[in-house]
Amino acid sequence: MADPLDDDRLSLLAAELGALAAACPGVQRVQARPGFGSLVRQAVEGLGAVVGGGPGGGADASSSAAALEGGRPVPLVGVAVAEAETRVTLDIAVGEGAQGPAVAREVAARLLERVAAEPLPPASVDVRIVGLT
Amino acid sequence: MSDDPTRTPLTPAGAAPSDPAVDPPLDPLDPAGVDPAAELEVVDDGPISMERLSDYLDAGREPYDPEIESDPSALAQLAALARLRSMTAGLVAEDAAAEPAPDPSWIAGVMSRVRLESRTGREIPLSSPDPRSTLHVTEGAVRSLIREAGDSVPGAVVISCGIVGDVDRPDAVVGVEVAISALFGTTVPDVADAVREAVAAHLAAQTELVVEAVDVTVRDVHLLDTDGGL
Repeated sequence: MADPLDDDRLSLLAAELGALAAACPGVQRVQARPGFGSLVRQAVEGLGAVVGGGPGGGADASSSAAALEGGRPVPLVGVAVAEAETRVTLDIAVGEGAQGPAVAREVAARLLERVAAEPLPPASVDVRIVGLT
Repeated sequence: MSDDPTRTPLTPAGAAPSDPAVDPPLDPLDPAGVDPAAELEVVDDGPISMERLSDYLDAGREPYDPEIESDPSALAQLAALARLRSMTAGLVAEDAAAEPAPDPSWIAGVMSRVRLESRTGREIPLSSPDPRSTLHVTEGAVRSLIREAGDSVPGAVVISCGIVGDVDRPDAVVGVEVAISALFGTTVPDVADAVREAVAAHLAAQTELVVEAVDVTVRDVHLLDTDGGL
């Protein structure tokens, strides 16, 4: 594996993933998963870095502090990197006229493809629909 | 399933979930099991109060409130409140004020149920062709969809709704229960049937739930004026 991403680069990746998800047809908005940080700590072993998850999303203080100190918003998409896994977590709302499950599948596919281009452990994506119209 | 003509099954009567293994003993959202006045007292106001939502809607959602606009529950309540207001305005336009006035707490009572139902609830899994993807939709989002579908039927206001069954399994058969109020002067069975069809169509389009029945119960007949409390 190439050089692992540092927290700043991971934050940029998380922000990019958020923009990518928001650009998917049918996505009305992208939201942070409440309690993202504590959830990944329970579910993922050997956690190395946690970024994103929105303000107060639960990323490590050392991880999120840099982004906050720089005056930048914390990305909504949460990214947790462990020894053997990269987990991407986000909530979306689906807009009128779009088919929720299909939109979620498309979002997941795009994010997986994007993360695969980075020097990170194999990725999994957790997409939750929190709004349907 | 009862013989009540206002309860309209999606499937033939015999196929509807009616045994205790499928139906919960008492749905806390069921208006039949909850004293509306008592419920209003126990509903947690949450981080975003109904008054704040009402004021925000009054102001045309300006200035932008990120806390409200990023909270799915608040957005669902906002949408329901907007629909109720729109309906009330329409009735006023049709000179409905000539009708007897309703209980002024009626809209507030409906909104208290919206508040309960818009909470996240259970996570309903969605199928994915890629094992690396975990996809789901919140029960709160589906309940808001059900409410929106029911409210879209002219003359109907959804009082409460719920999903009955084990939604944690993708292939599980579930039932949907919707309690509505019908506008005075409408043909109640027709309104109930239209609600059932609208809910079934929305769920089929937006979820992967295996819905055995949409059970619509007309709880009351309402009259509206502008003194709805919100």
